[in-house]
Amino acid sequence: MTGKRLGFLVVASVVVAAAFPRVVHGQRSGVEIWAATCGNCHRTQPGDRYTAKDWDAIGMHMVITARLTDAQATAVLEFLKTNAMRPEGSANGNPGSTASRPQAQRSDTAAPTPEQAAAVRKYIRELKVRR
Amino acid sequence: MTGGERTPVSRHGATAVRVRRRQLGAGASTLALLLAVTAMPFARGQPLRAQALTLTGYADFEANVEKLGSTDREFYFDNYHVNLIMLGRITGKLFAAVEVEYEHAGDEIALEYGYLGYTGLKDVRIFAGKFIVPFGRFNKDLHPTTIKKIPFRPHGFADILPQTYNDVGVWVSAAKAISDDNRIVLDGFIVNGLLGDDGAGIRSLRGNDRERADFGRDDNKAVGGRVGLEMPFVGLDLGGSVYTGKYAESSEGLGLNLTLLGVDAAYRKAGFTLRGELVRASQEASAEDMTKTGGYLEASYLIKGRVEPVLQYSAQNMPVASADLSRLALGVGFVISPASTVRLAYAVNREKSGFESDNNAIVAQFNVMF
Repeated sequence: MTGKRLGFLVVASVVVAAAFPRVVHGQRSGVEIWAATCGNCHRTQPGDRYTAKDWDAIGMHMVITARLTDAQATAVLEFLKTNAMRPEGSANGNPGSTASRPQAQRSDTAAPTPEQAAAVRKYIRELKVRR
Repeated sequence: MTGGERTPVSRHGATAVRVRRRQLGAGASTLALLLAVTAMPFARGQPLRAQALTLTGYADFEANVEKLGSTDREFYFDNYHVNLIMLGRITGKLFAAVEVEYEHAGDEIALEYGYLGYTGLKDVRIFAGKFIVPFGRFNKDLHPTTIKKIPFRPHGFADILPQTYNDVGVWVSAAKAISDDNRIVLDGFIVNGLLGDDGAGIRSLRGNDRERADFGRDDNKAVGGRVGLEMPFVGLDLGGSVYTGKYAESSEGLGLNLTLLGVDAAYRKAGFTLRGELVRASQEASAEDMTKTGGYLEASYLIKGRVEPVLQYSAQNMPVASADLSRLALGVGFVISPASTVRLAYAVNREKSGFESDNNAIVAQFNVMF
């Protein structure tokens, strides 16, 4: 197969993919996508392993690696940041730097909303199934 | 082969001038795209400083015993990786990633990747710099060490796809939802490309030599990509990859092409994972064109989130019979934490023709992400 034919194949694939009807994501929550996707390559890392600011960078790197859509990426990053480690003394959740990590408190010191609690229960169930 | 030489660039008759014009056009378009993308944040008056900058990385330590059964048995410790990764959002849409690798206790120090990425287009990301070429799954998902379930490199992914294959160029990555749960992923790249001697082993073609003025800088670039179907809630991933580019010139000045084709698949259900990958290389050479094939199949099962037995079979068929190899590797991983693992593995190495060597191997590895 010549390079020209292969190039045509790649371009044709892009065109076919672009022709699919646009589907609005939103039926899957961030925790569901996180549980189903992130564990495919590595063990899933809990949100409170990093601060929200760290997740901004690490999460974006992982979104690129996993090839998530923007909607999926937003949902996963919101979930991780909601459950992120919080620097000591930042009751408002103001994210700290990496340097503050050793002194950081876990995010479960803050009372979760009912939606967050339900999401965490669901992801624990998912983890038991997947891992 | 220097940039100043004027030689035919294809075996199939296209004139050098016409091809050069086309390549210059492609280069100019790429440059314009990069300038437009990177200039957007500045045009909006956004400051050039990292909004989020994180230092992370991974390390592993191995005890290896090789050539088991032979009188030349080798036992050694290896500080295989201590790799530092810097990640940052420079502005809201401009992202940077750098991995500096220290391999074998610092014997090999290199930039694994270092790129700028623009993430401002819906479901599309554009990168420029040095990146791990998105061909198949094994090359792309190799690092960090914690995600590699068998410490050995499967046959086919050293001598055919020269993993880790990273290169300098432009990479466009896109994801398109085709249903609520499933998506098509597309990667396309144009890179300097593998480069070396007529008929040389593919692994020796790496090295970003087209960046160097004294060796091979020319306007021949390699292109390729991967198309994948991701069904995470079913647990199924499928993909097909291609790479093609001129890697050498014959003594008559004819371009010699290297084309790689790959397919990959993975299925996961609960703790069970089955994955495999095939790669085929078609390499033109003055003496005789060559075809090389290789692949692996790997099955693993994570028991109670702590212990993961793994079985991997890999094999390669090469033009030289003595390089036809196969390996059956059995391993087990002990999960210490979400970020660290201890792995033990035993490999039975077989030569598919000719003399059978005593070259089985054992490795014990501790790895950690930090």
